[in-house]
Amino acid sequence: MIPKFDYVRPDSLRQAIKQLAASGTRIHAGGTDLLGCLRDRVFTADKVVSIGGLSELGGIKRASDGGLTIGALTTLAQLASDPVILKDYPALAQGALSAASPQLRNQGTLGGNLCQRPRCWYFRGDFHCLRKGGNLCYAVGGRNDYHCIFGGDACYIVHPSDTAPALVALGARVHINGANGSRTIPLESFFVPPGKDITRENVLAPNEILTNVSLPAPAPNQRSSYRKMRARGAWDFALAGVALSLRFGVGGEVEGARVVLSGVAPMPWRVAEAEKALTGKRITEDTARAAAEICIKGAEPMEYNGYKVNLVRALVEEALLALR
Amino acid sequence: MVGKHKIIGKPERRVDAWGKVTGKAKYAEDYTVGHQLWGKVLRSKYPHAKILSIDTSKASELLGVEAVLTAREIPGSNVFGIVVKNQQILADERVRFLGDGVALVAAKSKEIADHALALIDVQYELLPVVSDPEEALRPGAPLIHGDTNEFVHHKVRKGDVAKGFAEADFTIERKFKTQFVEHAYIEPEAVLAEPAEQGGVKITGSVQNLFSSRRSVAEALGISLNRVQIIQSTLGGSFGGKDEVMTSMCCRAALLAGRTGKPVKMVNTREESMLESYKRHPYVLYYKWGAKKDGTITAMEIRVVADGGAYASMSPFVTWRSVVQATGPYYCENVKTDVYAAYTNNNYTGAMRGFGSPQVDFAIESMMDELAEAVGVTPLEIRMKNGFEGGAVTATGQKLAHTVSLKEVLSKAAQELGFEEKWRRYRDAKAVAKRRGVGLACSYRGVSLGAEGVDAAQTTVSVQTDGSVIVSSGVTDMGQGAQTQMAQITAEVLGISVDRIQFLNTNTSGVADSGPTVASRGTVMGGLAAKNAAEKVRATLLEVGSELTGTPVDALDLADNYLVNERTNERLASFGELTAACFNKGRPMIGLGWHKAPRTSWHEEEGKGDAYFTFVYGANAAEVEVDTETGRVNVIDFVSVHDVGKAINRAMVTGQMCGGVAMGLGYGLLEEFEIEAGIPKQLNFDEYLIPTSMDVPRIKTVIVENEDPAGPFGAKSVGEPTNELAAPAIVNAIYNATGKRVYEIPANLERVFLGHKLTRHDKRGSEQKNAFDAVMVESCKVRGGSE
Amino acid sequence: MEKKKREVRNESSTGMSRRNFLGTVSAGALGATIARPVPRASGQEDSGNLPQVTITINGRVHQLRVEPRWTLLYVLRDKLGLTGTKPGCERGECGSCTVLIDGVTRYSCLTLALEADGRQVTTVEGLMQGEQLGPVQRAFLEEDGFQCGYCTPGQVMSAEGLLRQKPNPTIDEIQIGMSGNLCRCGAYDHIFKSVRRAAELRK
Repeated sequence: MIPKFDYVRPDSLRQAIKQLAASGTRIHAGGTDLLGCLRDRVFTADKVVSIGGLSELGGIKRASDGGLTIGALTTLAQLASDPVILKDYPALAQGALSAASPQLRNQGTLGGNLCQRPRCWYFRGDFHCLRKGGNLCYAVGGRNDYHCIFGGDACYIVHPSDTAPALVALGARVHINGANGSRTIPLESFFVPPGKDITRENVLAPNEILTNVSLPAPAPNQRSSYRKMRARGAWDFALAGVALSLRFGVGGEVEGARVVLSGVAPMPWRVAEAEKALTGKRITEDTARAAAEICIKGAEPMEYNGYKVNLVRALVEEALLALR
Repeated sequence: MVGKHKIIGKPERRVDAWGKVTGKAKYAEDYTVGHQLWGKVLRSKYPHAKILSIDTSKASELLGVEAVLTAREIPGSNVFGIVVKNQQILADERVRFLGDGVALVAAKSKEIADHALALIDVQYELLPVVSDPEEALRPGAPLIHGDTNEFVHHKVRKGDVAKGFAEADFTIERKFKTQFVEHAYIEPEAVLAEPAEQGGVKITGSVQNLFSSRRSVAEALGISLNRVQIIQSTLGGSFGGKDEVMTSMCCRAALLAGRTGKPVKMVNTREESMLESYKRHPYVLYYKWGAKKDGTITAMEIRVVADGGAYASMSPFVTWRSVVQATGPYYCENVKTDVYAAYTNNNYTGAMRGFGSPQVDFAIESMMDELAEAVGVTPLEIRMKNGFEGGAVTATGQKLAHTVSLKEVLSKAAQELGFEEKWRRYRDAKAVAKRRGVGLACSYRGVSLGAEGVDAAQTTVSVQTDGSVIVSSGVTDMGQGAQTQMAQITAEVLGISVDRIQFLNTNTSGVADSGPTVASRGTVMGGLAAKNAAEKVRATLLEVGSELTGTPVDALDLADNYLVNERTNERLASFGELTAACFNKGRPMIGLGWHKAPRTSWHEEEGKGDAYFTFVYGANAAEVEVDTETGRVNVIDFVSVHDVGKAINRAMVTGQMCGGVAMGLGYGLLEEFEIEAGIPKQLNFDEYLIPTSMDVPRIKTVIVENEDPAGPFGAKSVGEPTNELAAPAIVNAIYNATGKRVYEIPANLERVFLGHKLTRHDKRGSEQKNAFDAVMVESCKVRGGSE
Repeated sequence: MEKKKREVRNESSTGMSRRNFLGTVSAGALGATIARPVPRASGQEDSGNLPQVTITINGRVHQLRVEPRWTLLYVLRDKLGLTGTKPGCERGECGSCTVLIDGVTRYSCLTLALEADGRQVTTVEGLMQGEQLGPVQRAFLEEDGFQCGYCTPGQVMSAEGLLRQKPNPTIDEIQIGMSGNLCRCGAYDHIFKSVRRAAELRK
């Protein structure tokens, strides 16, 4: 059974933030990752602050600038089936649909999906690893089949989210509320690489809540997609994935591109060089191949995860050609 | 006979269907009684260590704890084992794998029990770990039991392989590897043990093989068999997996119930289940074949090493099936097969659906495709050339006297998929990124236990005065539908509808020891015993019917719930009237059915014998699409053909065929229970991936029926043969698509892409790899120190 | 006598926990658990201090006091005796504990009972129409949509949830809709047939 904790269900965001002031608190939104982590003793909680009932964190709204504001409590199932998202931001709908299982998508929230802890089997297992304050990354010498090939630095987790890469590709910003006020930052700078701080995956302070995500209005000729490879047909994290957002000019050439990899780095992995290479060009087999090759440049596979290099190359090429 | 049956071969619903769709079916964990205690096991901290001391004093003092037991407190025998008695209920001096139990706690709640476990202080002295079976057989390897780790060496000898290789135009020599596989029954293990009124114990639980578990419980408590009653709860899947792991759980719960005088419930979490339970054997297989240019196989030399893990379990039997079937259903005059099993510090390995055949079938069927290529014929042609026909003599010297339908099932599978045409087309196709391929695999499989052991079973048919019927059997139902099959057989013989039959879950005190329900023997053994029992009752009923009506017995029949005059088709009495009359006349309406399997033989030293009393034949054909840039394999079409003798229930046979393919697909493509230095890497379904609804292709099933006199109404086996061919069919299809052969399963992304495991890329990690084992041990120590 | 007994101070830091057969429980984590109050066996609980929830289960209103950490699965099975909902992994990875909450499928093992407060829960027991099988149950029975039956209550609930959203699902929608429920017997093909049949029966 899960270790004991206290539970509060504040009825306003303000109250919730107040509750978070105490140490040892954890936020419960959908609870899918939280309960798993508590049961597995990945971390403990003295108090669980349930924000599931806060209506101010729900809903998908058109913003005045034509963009979209998505409440942090929006479920993955809602993201996957929302007509506006399906039409204007397909990468996000595809990312949400490719995550987990129907039941988990009914329960898991956007905020939770962005803030979930890594799935590294040493981190989730009872290994006192670096990320848990120990002095060793067990994946380095052990089984690292599912670890990162980019951005590892003493710790080699991958970020497990499928919505995060899509949102980064779409240029999302996240809104954060805390005791010291609120702030809005690009989602890209929300994530913390292990080289900067090995014990956390994002910039949220203990008394802060991610309240919503906003997306800019889609450009007239914008196309986006999320493509993911997993070991089995459903209910599985990405071995590798790619989110694309491309803006096409009238002549069919790429005017702006975002290429973001998933499943291969401790955070959504933007490949600026590939984006640059695509800009100004039409997507052909050659340019797609070239961009894919750029995406795997500098990959540092470990003993058992070299296959991810191939996956990335194939996925990027395939995804680019599919968006032509 | 065909067409005459009223119940056999008809789509009857399962006798347990209502309970299962309503949630009323009671599985082990659903049993709860007043004042029950919770039992928990403290398991080993290391894969291999000497136990220096166990201090349970703090745990015993804990409020709510009612008993703490170690090996010392076991009144009777602490050891069990079906073949070799070397497994302990609780380790006394040594732990040999991480799943070994060291102490038990019974407490008022699960949490108190868990807390008490943490207070038990065990001091260990670490011993060197061996986790590779071939390493374990080398001199100087750490010893797990006695003075050698080799605990099985089965052989088959036929002709002279040296001569056979001399006659060959060429040889093919290959090495194959298979992996540990978790049974992954969705219901975790659970029992409820209650002290019995007259002493002894009553256990209700998710037990597959009740009689062997009962024997061990009786020995552990030091009491006679009749004082231990084990009742099987509805079983939430087993696939061979709820045998020894349940025996130890039954013994532990019984010991705690005995000590406390209270009911004790034990339930494994998924993690505990995966940690402690046994797995499918990983094999290393060395195959060397000599052949002529025309494809005739002149010699087969085969050496197999199985990882037995920490205990013998069913390894001697599993590997025996491997040695008998290692050459496949193919003619060869010169055979030398050696199968070894070695102890290691891994999870022990035992029975799992297929029972030693999936491993060898992967190797045989891969070899057969290589032979086809070397000779320049298609995979179908090479199998048709070498495959057994009626009267064939197997590698063990057994002459096949039944209908040998290998070529029938092969051609049906090939035809259904359009194999020949596709195979040629895909082979010659342009090398694009996404390529299709087709693959074929076939096998023959011995039915039931064979010369592995005593093979007999009991079923009881008890007709009630109102014409309803109770059937019980020593053969158990794990979801495969044994109860429904036996009910159908009983109904057929008694001329009644299946809905009159109530099937009792197996109770060791109600039926005779019928051996284990393994080796797909349920239908044949339980079914023939049911037929035998029902026929006894039928004879009595007809006699009474004759007395009542004055019609001679040979003119009477039981049909459609009536006693009828067969000649006039006149209904003489309803079945209920007949049974009431039978009761009033004081005649027995209970039939004890018994079936003993026909004689089989085995000469261990000569490596020869009539291994099984009959065989079944099956063929699978797979079509895949391989993304050669990623290694991703999609199975897009699948055909499964099996000769089942006679399908008692077509829906259930189809269900078995689809289920076998799903599990076989997981075996071929997805599943691998990884153990690193004796430490398992996956302990729940987030990391141990089994196929979902998105992974299993549409499966075309073809049932072939060549009735076999050895089975009830001609029926044979279906549960296991369906599980052994998907992996080789898929691997052969991958080859057809890519021209690269996978020699190690599962055929996951990296193996398909490169054909082998990737090796270390560059500087990173290399220096630390060597230190890794030491680090793992260190981290064990840290935890040891924290308690 | 009682005084001599050591009080239970913390949960087990070992024993039942996932994967903690090996490795370390950090000193910090252990310290934190030790500082926490005593878990007591049911019957010894001071249930008066526990929060109360009101959950409508299969149309009946239940008021009960629950510990915050109790999952809905635990409450259904151990507190209310509704054992049709099955535990398989207790971490949202097998699907056998699937129930409907406000008509939507969820894993009851990953749902705190407190989170179900004020909501409508439907379990397999709630699909019965009096003594008769509900349409989805009937379809599974007719199409042999199971073998061992352990995952079946979860499969049935997923089918019910799917059909409430999509009364006429395509085969692809069925495959995706049922992808959150493992069946080791591999009865998927019969399960798909069952869902199609259920769609007809529900009309």
